[in-house]
Order: sequence, then structure tokens, then C-alpha cells
Amino acid sequence: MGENLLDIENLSVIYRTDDAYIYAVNGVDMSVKNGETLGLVGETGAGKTTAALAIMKLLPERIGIVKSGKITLAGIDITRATEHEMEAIRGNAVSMIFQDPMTSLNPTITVGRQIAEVLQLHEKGKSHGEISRSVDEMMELVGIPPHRKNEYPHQFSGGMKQRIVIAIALACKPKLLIADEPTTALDVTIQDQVLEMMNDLKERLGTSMILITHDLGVVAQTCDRVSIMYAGEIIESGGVEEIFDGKKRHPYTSGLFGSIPNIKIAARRLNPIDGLMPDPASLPAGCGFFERCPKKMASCGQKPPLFAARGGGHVIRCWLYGGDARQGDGSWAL
Amino acid sequence: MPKGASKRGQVQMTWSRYRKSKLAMLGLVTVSVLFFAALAIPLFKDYEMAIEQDFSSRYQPIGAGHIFGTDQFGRDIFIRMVFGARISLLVGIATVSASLVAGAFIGAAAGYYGGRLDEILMRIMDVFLAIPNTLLAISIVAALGQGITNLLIALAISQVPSFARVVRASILTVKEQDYIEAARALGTSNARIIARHILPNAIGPIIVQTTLNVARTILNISSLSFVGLGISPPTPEWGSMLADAKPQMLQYPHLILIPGAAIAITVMAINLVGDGLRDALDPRLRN
Amino acid sequence: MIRYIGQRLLMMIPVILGISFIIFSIMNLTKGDPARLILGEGATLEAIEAKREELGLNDAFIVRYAKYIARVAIGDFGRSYRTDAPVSEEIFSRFPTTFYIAFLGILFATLFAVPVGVISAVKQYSAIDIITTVVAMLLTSMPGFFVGMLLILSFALMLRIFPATGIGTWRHFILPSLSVASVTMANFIRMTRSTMLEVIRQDYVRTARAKGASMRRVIFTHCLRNSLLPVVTVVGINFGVQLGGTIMIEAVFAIPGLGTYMINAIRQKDIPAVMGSVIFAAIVAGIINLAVDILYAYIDPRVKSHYERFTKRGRRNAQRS
Repeated sequence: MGENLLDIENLSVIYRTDDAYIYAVNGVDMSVKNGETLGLVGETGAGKTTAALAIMKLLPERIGIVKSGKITLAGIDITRATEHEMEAIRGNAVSMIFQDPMTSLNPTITVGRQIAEVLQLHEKGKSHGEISRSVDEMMELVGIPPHRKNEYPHQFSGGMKQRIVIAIALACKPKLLIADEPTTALDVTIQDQVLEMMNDLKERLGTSMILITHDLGVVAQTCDRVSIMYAGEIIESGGVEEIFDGKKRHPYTSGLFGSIPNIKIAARRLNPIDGLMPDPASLPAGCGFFERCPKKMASCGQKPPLFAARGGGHVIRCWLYGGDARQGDGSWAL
Repeated sequence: MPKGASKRGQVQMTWSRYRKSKLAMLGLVTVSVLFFAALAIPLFKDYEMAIEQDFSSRYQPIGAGHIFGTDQFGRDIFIRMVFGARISLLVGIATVSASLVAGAFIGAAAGYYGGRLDEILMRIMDVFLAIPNTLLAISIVAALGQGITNLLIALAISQVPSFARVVRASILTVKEQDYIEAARALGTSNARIIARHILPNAIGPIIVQTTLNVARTILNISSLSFVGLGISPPTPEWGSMLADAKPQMLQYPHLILIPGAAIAITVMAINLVGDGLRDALDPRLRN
Repeated sequence: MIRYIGQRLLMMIPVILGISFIIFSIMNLTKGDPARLILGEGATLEAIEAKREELGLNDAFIVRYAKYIARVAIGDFGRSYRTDAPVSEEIFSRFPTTFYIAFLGILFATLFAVPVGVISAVKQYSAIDIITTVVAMLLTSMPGFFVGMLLILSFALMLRIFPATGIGTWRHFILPSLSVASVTMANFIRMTRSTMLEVIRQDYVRTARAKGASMRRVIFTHCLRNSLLPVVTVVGINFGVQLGGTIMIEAVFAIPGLGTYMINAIRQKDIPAVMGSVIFAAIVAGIINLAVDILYAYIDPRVKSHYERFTKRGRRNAQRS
């Protein structure tokens, strides 16, 4: 475990609203090695963003509550860190990029000052001139001419705004970058550029990354490993090759692949997964995918499945593969 | 929800949301008590008791004989407060109903037909809105002369623009919905579309605005009466009671505290109901 | 920017024409003969007729309005029916008093309401928030003149700290200003709180938090500026309205400001005085609103570039957008 930059064990997060408890993340285990990119895949509402916000300790106050679990980032136990300690970690050891660049930047502050802010917060020794030089550097790195640093966000296009957001996130050379669907809100033509640039910068700075997406194409392009989330749980996890070669997969993962258009197979239509994710306010007793599963067995509806190890760190949480991937010490072999 | 079938469900849902707010319930209870007092007690007490002067019992303190004591003319303050409540609530509601009808008519026409008519009507409303509410009301009262009816007209006119705006805005949002298009495609007449489909769906914001305007009107009635342009003595109106009591307020503070508190409590209770309704009708607006 | 200001000033003209027309109609189309009011009950019919001719009251209504506006356009507001003094002089001699009261009142209200609103929003649902909300609710429900009376009762009559009525020293302005403040403050608090709540939930606040900025820093550097816009509007509008005469409050404190002037003029059908003060109030309110809009441009760069487009595209388009 020592080589892992990030370790998450048995994380559960609930949202408390006026009428109900929403079980957003339920017993998630996850780890990211140094320099690795982990793809976190799942449909809207699967709990991906919630898990990410838990790492940042930025869950909505009073509403989002971490019920159980331990998050260790670079040897620091985040679940026990005080708000003050977290302020030193955020933007410095771990950064996050949010989905919509249109609203991620403050409309009343110049982009240069927004990049400078993160440097001022974490590199306190630096002089004004040094910070200004770092801002220029970062802008050049993300491909925006530094002379535009005195302009306001509304003067930039969506793709350029996301580049600025990336510049902010990487300014302090964080160990881990969490990118929450960083390209979903962008035009298709821009998506590739931005993704490629992120990949390139990440390699250069030696940053690990968690890439949250629902686009398997993006995963194939950038990730080393993949975790698939469904109804707040990770239902399959493994190297990109194992998941993509498709010999043994969770029925939900197969469903995800079935709903991508494939030009090699002259299919007339996509095969979307029928039905909806269970209501996170009242989760079923058995497997969360039971209702929609094409391969369900009677017993699936009664007991939640356990992880089955497929070798090489590939695990599937499905009764089809039986077994219990728990190791002798009770931890999961992930 | 265009059809009546789901309307009941909607009312129930609104009520169950409304019930959750303690402040809104407090407001509702207070308003109910005020209405009950204003409408029921005058059945047993004579209006003359609120008017007739009795110099033998002036400035009686708060106590057993007179719950709130008596004023400088020996009149029972409690009785005057009750009749004052009746005036404020009735004039307030009548005023707001009148301006609601006029405002809804103008706003519906402007919002539904749009174009040039909308432009002209709304520019006129903007001009009215640019005149401070009290000032407009004062000049109308001054021109028409004093009296409850004229006060009612003046206050009603000064509130038409705010209703016209709310109704127009709600109609603009409902207008583009598919079921309106469907009704139009079926050849339903414009007036019928407005009355049957659009207004019922714009009702939420209108109810809220109505409630808040009743509160504001009650404040305005008392303000105008206070400067002598509203309801004049000896009619038991809260604002004119305050004006009457002003010279003796150091010796007899209860003479101003009681009517002042009555205004504040009534207005606050109605405002609480209005805010509660707003939250219950449109949970998205809640902070 | 200067072209923008020019256009906005031009746009005030139709509004002022509209307002003056409404008030002129109200004052003229009703019973009561100003000539008789000026000359008193004992005047002869001939004298009244002569006075009517002198005042131009025998012209058709619309002609009278046109003549009046033509004179106003060259700065002549006419003479008061009651005092025979030029209306503009009377207004200008009373305006400073009203201005001080309105300005101090709005200043007190803003200085108090903005911090309270911010704290209330940041600590939403806390005891402070609930108390603030209830107090704001109570203040909006109290008529300003009643607050004024309570202040007189406690600080003037009982404690004898401030004078109860009239003008003169700075002490005379404190209680009336506090009354103005109490009427407007609740509005400001609610506005600050609700915009602040909205701003706190914006994505860029989360971005700032993800940078490692503390909540305090985020509020000061990111939220305040963005939540100021709607607050500035409400403050501006209220200031404009109060400058038109803090009518009820001037009545309570017996202050010879624009408000009392207007009320007396309306009561006595002094048409030139009423018209003059209403037009004056409308112009002042218009200028304050314009000043607020200009202030916007310095708070929000998006607004500034909008103004620059505004002058290019002309008035109609900008109004639509």
C-alpha cells in the first residue's frame, strides 16, 4: 500500500435533505498510484462527484456527511484533517477541476489574478514578481498568451476558460488532480485538444489523476486503470486492457460498452441499458443492478454481491463470478 | 398541471410544504385570530362604543374594566382596536382585489398578445411605478377628497402596476408551454385560453403578490390616515389613532403602543403567510 | 461611457413627461378652483375670473399642460399659489434637509444591513440567522412613522438625548435618519442575505475553495463583490425614493423638508408646487438610478462591456436583451 498516493477504504457518504437520506456513496474502496491515471466511470448520479468531493473535503456543509471510511492522501488522513489543514492541502497536494468552465471562474476578477491566488495561498515566500512570472508560465503551458491575463473570464471562449481552470489546478504542481468531466461541457472539437493537453501536462509534472467521466472513449485514451461506479458502489475495477478486452465483465459494464456506437459492427441501433438506477434514497437489499440486469439470477435480489478477483487487480462485484476477493487480513485485493 | 384532476394533489402538496414552516404557521394562526376578532366581536359590540365619547372615564389604565384601557375621549381602546382591524382588513382586501382584477386584466393582455400592445401597456405601467407609491396615493386622495371609498380607489390605482407586472411575467413563462400550443391548435379562443389555461397556472406568483400587497396596503392606509389624508377621526383607524395620541404619548404610552403593535403584528402575520406561500408554491425559490 | 450616460439622460425625458402628465391630470381634472383658493372665500366673481385668466386656467387642459411643460423646459417651475414665491426656490431651500435625512438614513441602514446580511447568509439556519430574519421581518412590518414615534418617546421624551422635532443642529437629524434607516434596513438585509446565499452556491466559489482558500477569504475576495450588485440596486432605488421626500417621517418630526412641502401643497391644491416637487423628485430618482448603473460597471466587468455594446446597438435592442 505504501506506493499508493491515494487510498480510500470503505467510504460512505450520505446527503441529508428535508425528507430523506440519500445514500450517494456506499462502501467504496479506491486507490491511485503515483503517476497513475484512474478513470472513474458511471452514469449521472452514480456517486462519482460525491466521492471526489469527499477527497477534497468539500461536500456541501450540513448536507453531505461522510458516514464511514478512511481517505489517505500522501500519508495524511484526510477524514481526520481539520479545516485549516485541508486549506493547506487543497490546491497544493490535490486539485480539482469542475465540470462547467463557464461558471467555474469568478466573473469579476481577472484570470491572471485567479491563477495568482492559488500561488499566493500556497507559495507564501514568493515575491509579487515571482508570482507574476509563474502566472505567465502557467498561461503559456496551457496555451493562452500571457498578455491576456488582465482580461475577465467573459472575454474567453469555453475551451479557453477550461484551460485557465487547468492552469489554476496545476499551478502548485499538485500530486493528485481530480478532473470531474472536464470536457463534457465543451464542443466536441475542443474536447480532444483539452484532454490531450491535460494528459501532456500531467506526464510532464508527474501528477496522478482521477478522471471522472461517462465517456469510455476518453477512458481508453487516457487512463491506466478504471473503476466503474453504479448506485454509489464500485462494481468493477481493473486495468484498462482487462476491462476493454471484454472477456469477463460485469453485466453493467457490458451494457456500457453496448451503448457506445461502434462503426466496425454494422449495428442498426445502439443498445442502451433499459431502466433507471435505483433511487439512492431507498436502495434495494440485493445487487443494485438487479432490476436492469439481463443476466440476473433469483438470488441476486436478496444479497449484495461480493467482489470476485479475476487476477491482475481486476475485480468484479457480481454473483456471476461468485467468490470473495477478500484477502486473509480482511482487506480487498484491489 | 393544466387539468383539474391534479389540482387537488397540488393544493395538498403545497399545504404539506407550507405546514412545515413554523413561522408561516404562526402567521396563519395570527391572521385567522385577527380575522375572527375583526369579524365576530363587532357582532356583539355596538359600533357606537368605538365612537361615543365619555369624558368621565378618560385615560383609564390597562386593567379589568377595559382590557387595553381608554383613550383621551374615554373610549374603550380594545373595542376601537377591533373595529380598526375590521376597517384595515376589509379596506386592505377590497383594495387589493380591485387592483388585482385591473392589474391581471392589463398584465394578461400585455403578456398574451405581446408586441405593440405589450410595449405600450408596460411603458405606462413603468411610469406609474416610477412614482413613489405613497406619493401617488396621496395626490389621488387629495384630488378626489377624503373618505374610505376615495382612499380605496387611490390605493388600488397605485398597486395596479405591480400586479400587471407579475401577471405578465407569469403568462410569458406559461405561454410557450406545449399544452398552450396544443389548445391553440385545437382552435380554442384566446380569451378562453387565457381564462382556462394560462391564469390557473400563473396563480402561484399572483397569490403571493396579493398577500404581500394586502400587508403593504394596510401599512399605507395607516400612513395616509396618520398624515390626515386617509380615514379621519372619529372612525377607529389605527393610523389616525396614532396621530391622535401623539401629543400625550409620554404620559400615556399605551395609547401609541397598542395601535402601533396592532399594525406591526397584522402586517407581519400577513407577510409571514405570504413568504410561507411563496416557499410552499415554488420550493426552488427557497433559500 | 459618456455616450451611454447621455442616452440614459435622454431616456428619462419620456418618463418625466409621463409622470408629470399623470399628476397634472389628477390635480386639474377634479373639483376645486385654485383661483378661489388663492383669493379666499370673500373674493368677488370678477376678481376670481381675473385671477383665472392670469393663471391661464381658462385654457383647455391639454394647452395648459403644454404651456407648463414648455416653461419647465427652460427651468421655470412657476410660482406657488400659496406663497407666490418661485417654486424652484422653495424646493431648493428645502431639499438639503431632506437630503441629509435620506442620506444619513440610507448610510446607517447600509452600514448595518450589509454585514448582518452577510453573516446571516454565511451562518444560514444558525441562531443569528433566525434572529436576523425575524427582526428584518418585524422591521418591514412597522410603519416608519411608528418607529419615529417610538424613537421620540424613548430618546427624546424619556431619555432626553435628542430633540423630538424640528431642525437645527446635527442632533436633530439623528432620530429622523434612524427612522428612515429602520424602514429601509430590513429590505437591505433580506437582499444581502438572499444574494449572498445565491453567490455562495456558485461554482466559482467551489473553485476558490478547491484552491485552498479559507471560507473567510472566499467571502471577502470572491463573494462580496458579486453579491453587491443587487444590493446596490436596492440601496439606489430606496435612496431615490427617500430623496423625493420622507413624507411620513418628516410629518412625525415636524421637519420642513420636501415631504412636508409636498403634502401641504397637495392638500391646498397648489398645483405649481405639487408639479414642481414631483418632477424634481423624479429627476433626482432618475439621476440616482443612473449613478447606480454606472457604479455597476465598476463592480462587474461584464456590465461594462454590455454598456459599451449598448451605445453601439442603440436603445431598442439593449432594452430587449
